Amino acid sequence: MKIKSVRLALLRFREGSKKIAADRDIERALAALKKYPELDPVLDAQKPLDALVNAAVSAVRIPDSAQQKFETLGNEWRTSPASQQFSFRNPAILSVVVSFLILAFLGTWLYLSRSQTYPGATEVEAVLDAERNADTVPMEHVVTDIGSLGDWFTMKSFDGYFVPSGFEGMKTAGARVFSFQGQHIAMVTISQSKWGLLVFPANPFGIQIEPAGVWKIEKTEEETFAVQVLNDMCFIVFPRDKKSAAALPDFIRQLSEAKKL
Amino acid sequence: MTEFPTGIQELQNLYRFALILSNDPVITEEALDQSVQEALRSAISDPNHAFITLILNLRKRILLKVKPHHTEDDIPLSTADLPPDAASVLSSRSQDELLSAMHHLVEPQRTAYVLWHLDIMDLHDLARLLGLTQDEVSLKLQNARQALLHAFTQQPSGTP
Repeated sequence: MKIKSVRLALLRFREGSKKIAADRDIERALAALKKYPELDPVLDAQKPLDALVNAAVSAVRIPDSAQQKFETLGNEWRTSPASQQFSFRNPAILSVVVSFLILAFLGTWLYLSRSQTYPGATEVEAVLDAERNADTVPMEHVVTDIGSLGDWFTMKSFDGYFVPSGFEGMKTAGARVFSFQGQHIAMVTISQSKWGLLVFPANPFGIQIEPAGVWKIEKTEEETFAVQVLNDMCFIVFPRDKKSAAALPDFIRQLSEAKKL
Repeated sequence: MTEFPTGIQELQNLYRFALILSNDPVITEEALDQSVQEALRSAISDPNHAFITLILNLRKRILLKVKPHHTEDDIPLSTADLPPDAASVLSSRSQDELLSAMHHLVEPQRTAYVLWHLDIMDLHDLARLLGLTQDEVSLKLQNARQALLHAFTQQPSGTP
């Protein structure tokens, strides 16, 4: 700190002042006094003069005749909104802050527990959204064994189609391929179009569900569906109408039990 | 940060500030009452800003009724170091004489020196209120000290 800055800061210094004592420049200037002893007389002359003036200022009092009026004003002031300090030590503000933090924590926890139960959960929901909005690609009337559509999908530029165990013997009602984020998604409808099955590569979407080949039933605000990953392929079974949604757990149970047989 | 005052003690300090500026208890009471009532009515959410606004309004009310006696053009300003015996010059004077001398200081030295003594706001806010830098506040404070010395060392005209 240069001597000029130290001198200027010392001119603002007053002993016994709480507000001024907290000033960082003054703290530094007082510390620098050892380096500049020639500034000692500045403070030596200033301190007693300021003390005399301060005593005179402090001696001023609100006259008795006005005391009552100003006490009333002081009471109003104390309870005015402007006097309510925004301080975390203020119990009212502290309780609001704590409540907000708890709500934020619960909200985050609920959101994460809903959407991030497994890696790629958000992408799974996005694929389902894309299916609902893929109106430009109509379903083709394809009635055949669900496991025998590999060649049909290859002709539609979707390679690697297969279905997990449990679907054996089921007949498709329709099929189509649509694109989402540059990936082809295969879709078939089964059981008189009651259920839809989406088949697509899991890796490009970062979808990982453990254990492999086991259905996981998910419920969102909009829908209920079952999802699993097997051999890097993701499978989503979803109801195609609201009535079927309640029956999804039973349908998945049937698939799982058929797989065991 | 300067806190919005919440008690009679702070009103006492504002009364001191207003009385030194006005040198008139009636004007002081009226200006303080009006300024505080105005602050209570206004819905300013920032307590720091509310307090600075209150002081500025109080000062404005008083200066409209009681013009400062001098300007910086009238009085030579000095920021020189005080003489070692500066306090002894003032020590022989009564508190009323000191307050009267403060009342006759020029603005904004007077406001700076009085608020600085009252310790009701930090230096950052004091500088902000006056529209000065902190170093400029230092110079105004020194101007005020020198002016007080000058007032008491100046020989009355006609004195041999």
